[in-house]
Amino acid sequence: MTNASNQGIWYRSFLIELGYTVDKPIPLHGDNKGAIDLAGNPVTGRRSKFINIKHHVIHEYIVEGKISIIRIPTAEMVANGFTKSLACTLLQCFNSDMGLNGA
Amino acid sequence: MEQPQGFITTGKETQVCHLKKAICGLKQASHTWNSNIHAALTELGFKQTVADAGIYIMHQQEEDGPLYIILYIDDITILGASLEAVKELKVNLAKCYEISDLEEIESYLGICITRDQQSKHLTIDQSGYIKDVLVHFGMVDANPYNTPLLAGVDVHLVKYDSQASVSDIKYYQGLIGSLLYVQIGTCPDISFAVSCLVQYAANPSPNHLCLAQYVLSHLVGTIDACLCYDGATGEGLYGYTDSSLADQADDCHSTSSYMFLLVNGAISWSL
Repeated sequence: MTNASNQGIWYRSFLIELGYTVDKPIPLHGDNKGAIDLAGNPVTGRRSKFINIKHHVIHEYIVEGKISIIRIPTAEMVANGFTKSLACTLLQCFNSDMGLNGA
Repeated sequence: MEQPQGFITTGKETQVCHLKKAICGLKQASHTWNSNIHAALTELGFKQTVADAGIYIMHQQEEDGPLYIILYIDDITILGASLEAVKELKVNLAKCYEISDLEEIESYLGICITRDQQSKHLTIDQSGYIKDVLVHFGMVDANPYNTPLLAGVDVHLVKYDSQASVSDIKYYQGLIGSLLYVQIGTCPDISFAVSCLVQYAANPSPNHLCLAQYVLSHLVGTIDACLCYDGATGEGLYGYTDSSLADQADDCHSTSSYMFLLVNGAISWSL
């Protein structure tokens, strides 16, 4: 998730450099409630204290209003097809969500 | 530089040539070319962006809007709201370099670009490239499969116990390399399949070879697939991120991925 937010931050600086005004945070959708809660409120617990400190930069992005995290159900997660192999009907949904036509 | 064949001075075979300027094929040549064109573009009033060194911007008067240049080695794409300004820039570039003007953009790095300015639709596809790959690997007449990866394929995605032959490794790496280019270009649907298979490029088993050909057969059916960007919707930038913990049967590695959508089309994806 931090990886994705870093890419989002790059888009943000790129758009600003191209002369666009980016005043709203970039919406980033995730389906892992644990990860989203930890990004918003980085408390260290018994099991989360081992998470590498570099991953906590996402909290800073949220506080600065550069990224906003939105939780969606797994069924609506567009990026699902990148982490598992999908059956035919799910693959078609995945393709149309990405704007891939004729596949 | 070592003395070129046929031009070796007898008696001075151990000596080398001292170059006065960079010539094509030297490892410094690309850097020299880039500094050259960078200087030329800067002189024309362009500014290199910090976010991407291959993109240059020139801010003009209000009515014309900014001009953008996308530079890939010596291929230049110009974007601008005013056709006059673009034409003027081409004239200026022609003063510095010998250029061939390909008019409106149709393809870029093997990716075919189709635009419909009325409906603000833009589509990109790689059917030409995929056709070449299919011909090269003799799979043009293969039966198309619906999915890029077989169900329950995990059992085959394990390390190969014995050593693959050199020709198999070469074949597999060539095939995977072609699939990777399709995947980063316009076919995000095969990303997961390719990322699973690419891990075995050093020593592919016969099963991996079959699976790679399976992905290629999938492309037979989706050869005309294109990514569509519908500018009329005006949808902004959205990010999606997903991960799965310890899903690789082989080594218990986790997978994480993200994708960004702009005007309802995928603009970048990674896993």
